[in-house]
Amino acid sequence: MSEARARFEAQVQPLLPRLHRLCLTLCRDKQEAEDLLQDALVRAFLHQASYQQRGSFFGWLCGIVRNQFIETRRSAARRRSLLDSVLEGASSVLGSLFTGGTDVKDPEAQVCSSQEAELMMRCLHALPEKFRLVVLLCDVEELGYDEVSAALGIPVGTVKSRHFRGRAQLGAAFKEQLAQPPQAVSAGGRS
Amino acid sequence: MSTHKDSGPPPLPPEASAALTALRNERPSAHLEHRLHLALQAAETAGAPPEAKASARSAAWRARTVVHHSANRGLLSVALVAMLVLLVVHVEGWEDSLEVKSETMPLRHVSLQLPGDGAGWLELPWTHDVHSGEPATVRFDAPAELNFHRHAESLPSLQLLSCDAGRCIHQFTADTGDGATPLRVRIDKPGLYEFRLSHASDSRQVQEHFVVRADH
Repeated sequence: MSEARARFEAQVQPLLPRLHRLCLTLCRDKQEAEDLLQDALVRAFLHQASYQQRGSFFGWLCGIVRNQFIETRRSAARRRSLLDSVLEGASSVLGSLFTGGTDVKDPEAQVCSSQEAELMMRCLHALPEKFRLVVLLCDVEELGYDEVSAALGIPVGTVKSRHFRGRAQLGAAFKEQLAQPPQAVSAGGRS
Repeated sequence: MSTHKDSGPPPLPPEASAALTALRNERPSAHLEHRLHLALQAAETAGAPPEAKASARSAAWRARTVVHHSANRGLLSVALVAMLVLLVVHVEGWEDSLEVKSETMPLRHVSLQLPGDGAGWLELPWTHDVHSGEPATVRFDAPAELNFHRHAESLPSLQLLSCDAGRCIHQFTADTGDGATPLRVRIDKPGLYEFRLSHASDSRQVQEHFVVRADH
């Protein structure tokens, strides 16, 4: 292993749980979150010279994860559009053979290893993205407003405002989830 | 305009605070960490930014403009059908030749009889023979209370990668085949211990899961 990569991996290692949670919060699917984390870390590694030490390393990585997420989502939207066009043409030749292949998520699929964490993740996903990220960084990762502001590239006042509104929505979403009848959830994580 | 900037965010229900704590304990699996390690290794070897994605995007954009031309749609449909037929016929062998698949071994239960002084050494029966003698990178996810670094002398490449939620991940390079590196863990007291092992060589990548019951 080269010295540069060893140093980068050593820097990233303690931050992996937080970055992983950030990806899980952004994506609605575990596999997608893992792909996002990998792409973002590779990008960070290849462009590590651009980290100017002005803010925290974690904040810099958060920015890369967020940008990678936006870019991946745009690419996926373009690909879907392309695929729709092809399927439309194909279905005109083969009838309805291709029309049933929509991407339906498995409602039983868990992204977290404990049911409590899974419940919180479902509540976070109920929030609009701009509130979700701020609540995650403030309440789960316990970052200060200044750090969140730097990580997301938004003013501190906006962070506070989003935190306030996001927290209120999270509390409401949580109460709503608790009021629902319990669902059978497949076991995951450690035995 | 907004009074909430001064009053602070509204409190969460107590159950929500507990769920936040549970979410804080979420961590990536050893398998994912290993995958990230390999991705960084590959990126370093390639030594270039992920240009492939950018070129794939522009190719997709060009393809899209072609598809939107209605005269080409019929032709593309036929090509797509032909491609799908070929894939259905060849998919299994094709996949095998493209990538190293991750294999997950079934959970194994191991018993350890601790001696009278209360501590014993367990040698985990890891399936090193799948690597045909190639060195393997091993990630070992073990309870934090077991000090795996007692192996530091016999495993010079041993690194402690991370510790979280009562578990630690260690990484080292191990010999496989006839001269395979033994994987020994010292267990001091009776109980149930869980170990997850991920080992990868150029040809195979294997995930193993052990539950060890230690009794006097």
